[in-house]
Amino acid sequence: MKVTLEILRYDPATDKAPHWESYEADVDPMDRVLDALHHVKWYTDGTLAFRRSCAHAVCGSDAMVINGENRLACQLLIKDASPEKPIKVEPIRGLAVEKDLIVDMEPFFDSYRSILPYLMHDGPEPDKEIYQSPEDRERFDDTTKCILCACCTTSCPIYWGSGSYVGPAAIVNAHRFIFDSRDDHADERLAILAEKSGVFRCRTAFNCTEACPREIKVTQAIQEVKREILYRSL
Amino acid sequence: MLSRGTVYKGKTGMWAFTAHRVTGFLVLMFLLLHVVDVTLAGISEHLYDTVHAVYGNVLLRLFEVGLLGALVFHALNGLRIIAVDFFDAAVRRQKQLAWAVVAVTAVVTVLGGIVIMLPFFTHKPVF
Repeated sequence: MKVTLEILRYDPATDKAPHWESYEADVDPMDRVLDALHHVKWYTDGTLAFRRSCAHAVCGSDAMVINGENRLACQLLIKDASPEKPIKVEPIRGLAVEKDLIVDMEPFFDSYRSILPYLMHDGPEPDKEIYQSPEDRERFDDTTKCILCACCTTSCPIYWGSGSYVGPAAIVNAHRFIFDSRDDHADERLAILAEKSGVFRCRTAFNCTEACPREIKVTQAIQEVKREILYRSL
Repeated sequence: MLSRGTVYKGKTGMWAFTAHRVTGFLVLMFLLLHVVDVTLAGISEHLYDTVHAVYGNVLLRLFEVGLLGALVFHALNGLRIIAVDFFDAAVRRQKQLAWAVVAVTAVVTVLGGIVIMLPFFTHKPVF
């Protein structure tokens, strides 16, 4: 079938502002939007720039705004993208556009790194794995699924308006370690997230939960971190 | 350059968040107006009466109906946000809660609107 893609394009070398370009692509309804973008890049306009790597919703590099919502281009099927109308594709928001659909992800990863996203275990280094009960593992299971695609963070209206907010993805990854029974430094992360740029900037708009391609209950995780900070301070 | 394309197609939560901000701003603006019109009493009784007589005209009565709607929505949605902050069940049912806020706001605004608008037509207070 023939579909029309409307892509918000921007080349800093030649354009003053982003502009819409329209392309036709010959795809199957069961193809992904990524296949349509490949079709455009390979057969129509090789200058189109976008990121993708695994192309199977695992690496999280092809997050983009498709028909007004954050989606992974490799996960959304053409038949589910209202193909009877032009499919609108834009870069994710709140991060500087470098070219076409490519944004500068560094501020996003800076926020991620700021919450110490690694296991910190005190005491002597164990010579085998640290025991964890299935119940303790279950406590943070949902937030282990994050692929750092930035769909949540760049769908957040507070993040669009404030570059200093750490964003949902960083909080989700903090949650993953704060509630891990093997980790001994939850207080350190909670102190970071209790700062002005931290978890209390969240206004529960739920865009993050709606946007997550892994169906992580992002707002739920954020609220759990908020409550943990509150209850530990009482 | 930050991308500014189409309007983000958020769902119930985003529009509840947007409406909360808009109604909060409107209520704040009215509060400032109210501070000014009440302050007039300290300047001149006549001026105060003249300005308050203006509140009786149909446009300002409609404005008051809108104000009531904004106030009720903002207050109820504030309670929804508090519920979402403290209870997991409220997080799971935030959409239903948002629609409940809209429904109660609509009912209160219509009933309150009748009370506010009726004296304009009957020239006597409802109660």
